[in-house]
Amino acid sequence: MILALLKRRLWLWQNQFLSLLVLFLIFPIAIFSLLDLSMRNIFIQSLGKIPYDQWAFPGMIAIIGSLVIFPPIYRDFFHLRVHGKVLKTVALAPFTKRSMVTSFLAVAVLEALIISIGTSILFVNLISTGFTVGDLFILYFFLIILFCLIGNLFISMALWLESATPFLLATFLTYFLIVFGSGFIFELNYFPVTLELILSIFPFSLLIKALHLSLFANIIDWAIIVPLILLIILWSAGNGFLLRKKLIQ
Amino acid sequence: MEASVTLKKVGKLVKDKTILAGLTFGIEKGSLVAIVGDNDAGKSTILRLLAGFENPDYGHIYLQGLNTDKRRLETRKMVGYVPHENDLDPWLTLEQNIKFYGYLFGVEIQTIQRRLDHYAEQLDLTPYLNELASRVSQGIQKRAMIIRSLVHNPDVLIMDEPTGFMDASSIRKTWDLIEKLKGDKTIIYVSNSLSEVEQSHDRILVFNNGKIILDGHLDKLLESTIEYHQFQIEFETLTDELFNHLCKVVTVVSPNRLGNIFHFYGRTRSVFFDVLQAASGLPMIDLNVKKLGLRDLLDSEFAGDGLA
Repeated sequence: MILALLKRRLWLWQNQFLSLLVLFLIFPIAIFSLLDLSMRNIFIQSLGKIPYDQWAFPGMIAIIGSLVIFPPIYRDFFHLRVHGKVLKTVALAPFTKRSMVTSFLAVAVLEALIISIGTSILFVNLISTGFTVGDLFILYFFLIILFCLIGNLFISMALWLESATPFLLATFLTYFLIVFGSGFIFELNYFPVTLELILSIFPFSLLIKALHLSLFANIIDWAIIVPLILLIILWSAGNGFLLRKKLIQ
Repeated sequence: MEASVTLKKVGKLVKDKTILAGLTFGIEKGSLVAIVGDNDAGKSTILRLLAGFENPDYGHIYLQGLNTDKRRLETRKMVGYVPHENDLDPWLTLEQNIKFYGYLFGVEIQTIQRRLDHYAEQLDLTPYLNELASRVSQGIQKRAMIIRSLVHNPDVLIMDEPTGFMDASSIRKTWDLIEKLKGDKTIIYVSNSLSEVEQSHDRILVFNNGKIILDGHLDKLLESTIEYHQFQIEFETLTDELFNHLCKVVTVVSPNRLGNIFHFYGRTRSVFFDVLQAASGLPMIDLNVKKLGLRDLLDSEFAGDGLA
């Protein structure tokens, strides 16, 4: 099923190539200009004395990837389910709902990862990060986990909600949380203690914390990574169940 | 003959309303079965259940002897489904839409291309294959949906309004294709175009309130359920007084009028002469005796009398 979905994503890119290319080129430049160029003058360096450019680099890539993963999930699980009824016909193919969810998710994650890799190469040339190729591979590994988490969250929302307004509001809220409340562009220590405590237990915050530990302290914190991978597996299975309920199949 | 599709006490409820009430029947392999009935009779629902588009609330469906609930993944491959509403991906071309389904069902690219070319030629779709689905008419989309349902070569083809939104030429080509597929595939379809159903069927299932009230070939249904003849007399002037007078002829069944035309049914041909006698002396323009058809069978008021 993944191959069929990949082929379809390629066709969709091909059919709207110019508009998508322009948007995906503008995207990282806009994020860099509006976030990094201003924040680097406010924070200068992290609380751990790491230059802001270097500290914020993984967060910015993660934000871009998180934005890129949204359109394919919205399209397949919300728009083409609620308005086009396409998903119901796709679901007639001989696959379980769980493998359907996993395949759609895998293709969306792959698309986000490809854009993230492209963006990271662009940013490495714009910012002096000092990251090695090995560091970039560690970053990509964490990004895959992050995209799987965010993808599952969007799939749940897209299947749960039936009308556009609550779905879009929930999406904006999620992005607000990801960008400002997960430690992507500034540390959670800047929040009041109680709020910091609450925000720090969110899966996205735990993941970015583990990513920073890996990149800046060379510590792979499996105690964070393994439970998050288990969460992804369980969440995908839950979304498969939810899809089956929604499609009444 | 071997049963291709079997339903055992299949029922569907929506909240407290019964949409399908414990249906039990079988469909022979290679046959062309039409399902007709009033709106909300449960026609599309039965197609959705057969296609696996929805699950029944109770009962079992068997395709080629396999339980669709227990052997879901195997039976899915056996079915091609054309829903009533257009459900192509709007941002893919027609060709991409069809190929995508081929890939989903694990068909090899060469086979997909061969079937696509073959059916596109038969349905005259080749010039539109590279158009985005959102930019072609609904009739063209429907033709693409038929090819999409055939691309994995299913044994059972289920179609909801197969010629919906199509022009006359496309309708003819679609029925030509369906007639060719019959025998090789079991075809079950719903249509509101009764003239098309009359011409293309091995069996008709008439649905009413989620139940099958008639089942068989049209000729047999007409023979066994209504021994009526249909008559039409066009008067120069059909006054209300004359209409009421003619309605009172005891042998006249289900009379109605359309302008100056008096339309009625009768059990024997002699009824015609009863009416002529009652209308004696009044100038008539045209007379017509018609063979009864599916529409007469389904006409609610008349069918109610005839089937009671």
